[in-house]
Amino acid sequence: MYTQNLTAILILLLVPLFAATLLAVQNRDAIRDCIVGATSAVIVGTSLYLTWAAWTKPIAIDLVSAKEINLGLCIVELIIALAIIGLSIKYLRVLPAILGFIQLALVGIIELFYADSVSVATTFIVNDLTAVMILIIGIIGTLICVYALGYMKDYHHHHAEIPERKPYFFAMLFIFLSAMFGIVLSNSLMWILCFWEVTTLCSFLLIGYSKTPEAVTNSFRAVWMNLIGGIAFTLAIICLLEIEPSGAHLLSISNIIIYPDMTALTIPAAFIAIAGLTKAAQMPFSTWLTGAMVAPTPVSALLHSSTMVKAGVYLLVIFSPIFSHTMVGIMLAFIGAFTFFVTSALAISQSNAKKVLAYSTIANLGLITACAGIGTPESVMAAILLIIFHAVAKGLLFMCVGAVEHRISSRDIEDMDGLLVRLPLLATMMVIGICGMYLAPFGMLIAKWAALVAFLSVPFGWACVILLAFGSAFTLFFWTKWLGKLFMRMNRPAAPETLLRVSEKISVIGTGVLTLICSVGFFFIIYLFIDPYLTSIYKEYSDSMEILVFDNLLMIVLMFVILAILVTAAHFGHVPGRTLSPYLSGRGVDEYGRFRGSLGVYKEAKSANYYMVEYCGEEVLMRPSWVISITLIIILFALAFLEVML
Amino acid sequence: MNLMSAIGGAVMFLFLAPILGGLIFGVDRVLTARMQSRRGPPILQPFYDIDKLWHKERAFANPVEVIFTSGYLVLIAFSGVILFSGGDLLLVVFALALAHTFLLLAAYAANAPYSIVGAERELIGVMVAEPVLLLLAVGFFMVTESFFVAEILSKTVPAILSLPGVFLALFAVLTLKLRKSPFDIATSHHAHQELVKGVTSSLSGRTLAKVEVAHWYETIIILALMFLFFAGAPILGVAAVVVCYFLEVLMDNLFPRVTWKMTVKSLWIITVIFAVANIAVIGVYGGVV
Amino acid sequence: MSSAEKSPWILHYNASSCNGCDIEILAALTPLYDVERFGIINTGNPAHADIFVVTGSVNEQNKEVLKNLYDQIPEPKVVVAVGICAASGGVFRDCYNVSGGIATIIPVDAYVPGCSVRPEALIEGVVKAIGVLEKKRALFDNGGAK
Repeated sequence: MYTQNLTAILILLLVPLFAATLLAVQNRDAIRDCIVGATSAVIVGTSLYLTWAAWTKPIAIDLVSAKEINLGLCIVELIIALAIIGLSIKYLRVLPAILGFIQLALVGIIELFYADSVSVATTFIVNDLTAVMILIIGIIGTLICVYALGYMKDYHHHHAEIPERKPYFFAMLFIFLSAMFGIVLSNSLMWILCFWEVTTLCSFLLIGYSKTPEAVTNSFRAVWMNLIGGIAFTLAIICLLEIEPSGAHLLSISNIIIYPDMTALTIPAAFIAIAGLTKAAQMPFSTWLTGAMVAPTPVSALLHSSTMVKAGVYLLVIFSPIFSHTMVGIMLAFIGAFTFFVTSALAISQSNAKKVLAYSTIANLGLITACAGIGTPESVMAAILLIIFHAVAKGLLFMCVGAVEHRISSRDIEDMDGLLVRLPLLATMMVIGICGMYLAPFGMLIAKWAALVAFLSVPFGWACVILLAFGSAFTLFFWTKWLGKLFMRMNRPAAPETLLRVSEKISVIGTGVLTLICSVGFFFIIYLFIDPYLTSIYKEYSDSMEILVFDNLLMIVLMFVILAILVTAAHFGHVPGRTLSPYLSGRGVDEYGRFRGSLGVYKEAKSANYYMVEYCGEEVLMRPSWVISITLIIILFALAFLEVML
Repeated sequence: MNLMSAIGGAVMFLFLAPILGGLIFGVDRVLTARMQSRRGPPILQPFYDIDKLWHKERAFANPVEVIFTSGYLVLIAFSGVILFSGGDLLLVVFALALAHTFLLLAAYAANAPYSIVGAERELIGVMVAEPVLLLLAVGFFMVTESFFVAEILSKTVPAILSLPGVFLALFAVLTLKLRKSPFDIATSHHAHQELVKGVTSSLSGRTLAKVEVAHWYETIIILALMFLFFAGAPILGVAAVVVCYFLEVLMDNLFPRVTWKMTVKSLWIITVIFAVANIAVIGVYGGVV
Repeated sequence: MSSAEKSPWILHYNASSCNGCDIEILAALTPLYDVERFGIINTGNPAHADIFVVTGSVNEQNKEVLKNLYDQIPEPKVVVAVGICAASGGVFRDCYNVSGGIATIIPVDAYVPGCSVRPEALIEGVVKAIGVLEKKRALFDNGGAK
């Protein structure tokens, strides 16, 4: 049994690496399709198996050769730091180079002074939370990789000026998948740090894929911000080693959350919080993620919404027992809730679809951060639900926007009117994704609901709730106006069916169906995965979710039934009656919906959405929110030190 | 929750709310007319309107309007069913948001410029009201430790004692929800609208009738939420609701030229000053109950 | 007396009137005349309207608009031509660009004479039109909904 599980883990870690090597050395589309398809199948199968195995019995595996691997991973880390420093010097960027050197020095310090104590007894742990993450990475991650096959063909067709480096691109994607599996499977903080840095490097290199000046600038911004996170992570490890020098007791996650003296852990927890905040692009580090949208869309879908940024909040979630009932945790929750509030408002001012998705991603990560900071079992449940639903729905939306962009040559929401007629399949999936992001009774709303209820059970939670209330209003606004765009001007004649590539079709439909299944089956997700996890982590937890009483479940089911009936009716029903021409003060309208002006000229009436740039624009909101969030971080550290000293 | 009373409440709402809602609107129109020294229509006028609309030709700018407006009506009624069966306040808020999305989609899908601008502004209205409704549910939870209407109603001390600020914010939102003001969003019967009835401008006949009835339902829901603040003192509650409604009509006649920008600013300032501060005070010091 | 009679909603269109009749129409909404007594509402929107009240004569520019607005009103509907211009073109009848009264474009159910019309006459005209609307509704109901 053990060996089977170990094999599964090793498959998840090594098969993507092997595939990456193969993909890197050859450049034929047919072969690439086969490799990606086969690897994805293997990963999905193994993820499912491992989840099942972990669900029946939590897995903990000790590796005898952990020490050697430790050394190997350290070397990997050094190589990454050197690579970043090298590239920074090549492109003459000072800040990333300096931060790279600091990181190098810190890793060196660990290797020199604590070399004996970094080995952790239990190497891999697969519990229910890990299982959830494995499923997200294994299924959504591979679906996005498959999607990338079709996407990249069109990408280079549309961007002829960008040198084609597909072997490099796909190799990076798979190295990234391997590193993600590493992060969620490892029990040692040292190992997590190493994989963490690998994801930073992958993100850096993939953002810079097109090598345009903008891409290069944005990739370096991403790397220096993430290096701050890496440094904070390393500092956290050094603190932990200082607290408990004998053996690597505290480097093991399974030990750290049952450590008796929680106050001692406040400072490393604060550093971990910074690491999580940078990776999850929280305020004030949000600009790297919006900048990362220059990367090809599969990268945005995979790294910058569904998985990599989730590593940041995943780290916070596993540390949440330490955050719970501390001032550090509350400050972390404030930062998260504030980020949700501000970035939701910022999303209103954007018409670039990818930028809206980016801001919405940051906002939702903020909510997860807030939940992790609160750290009660109920809030952790909300956090995990948010992670799941967000990964699915946002992955779907990114893929839709990417595919739509190649069909209509624009990623501007203003150009998406009537999409339901022009690109019915993609638009339908987009509608599912958008509904999945904010509307009752779909997943994200249930998760937000759980978060709101969880906030109310702790002191100062009401402050988060107020931010959540206003943030939700913004969310409602920008999603609904996007949704409305898709339904506008549907009376124009259907465009000739444009070809959607098979790989894109598989991924988009697959993720769309997953979004619906997760939403309908959210109760089972809670019951099968989240409850057991919480029971194993929190002693005081008894599985009594307040929102999940029978009455509410009944109402949610009824809502699904009503929606299903309406959708069916809309699809199959025939409505008798006369279609009136649209009203524009009596002007005539032709069959394309254009209005006849005074001199007999037909003009298209174009209606744009509200963007409220004077209230929600980046110029207006960015600076004040930087000030506020940096202040919050300073207070977080001050409180952490106070707590230790008092 | 008591099953019988829950079903009873839901059924009562479904059948009585349109009657009561229609009557309220009839009285409202007479009252408005009297304030403008006119006679005004008969009290049953809203019912005549609906009956007439129901017998008009079936016409639409886009056939999906029929589905969307039906969805709006059904989901608004469903929100009320949750409320009146003693259900979860948060779920009521979420269901209302879902219902409004359907109305907005009906307007967006109409392909007509006025309709789309109307939808955008209506959406602004929904956005402005959303935090107040959420904070209302939160406030009730902080005071009574339950989101369930049935339990809130069973309290003997009225929540208004702890939540006066939230009540004021809800009162402000009622202005918006009655759809009379601001005049550049409004879809009411006043002659002072800017957008040829904005969000409903492309609806006609039965689709319009459904939206009207949904509007009656919604008004009853908001008034019921106001009443909830006086749980434990029902007579006072009814009196308060009547007074508030009268004040709304008065305010509408005093300020007929409010724009949506003014509305957003003033309502959110009111929300922040009263509702948010109210929640913060309860968060720090605890409520009266 | 059916509800069609109790709730006639009006769409007012100024074809090319001198605004004289229009001001009288608006006067009918004021407290002195208060047409809302009869459930009449000035909707300003063809999709909501039952009675199409037109002032002024028809010319080349507004022909199409008039036709469009008429088409956008759902059945049953009636048209009231208000003022002498709407009836026959009035003093503008011989202008090079005027084609005459609105009956040249759409069927008219009631004519209100006057230049400009008096609010009392206007109200009477609308009430006459309501009678026609009632008959049309009975016909429409029997013909079955389209």
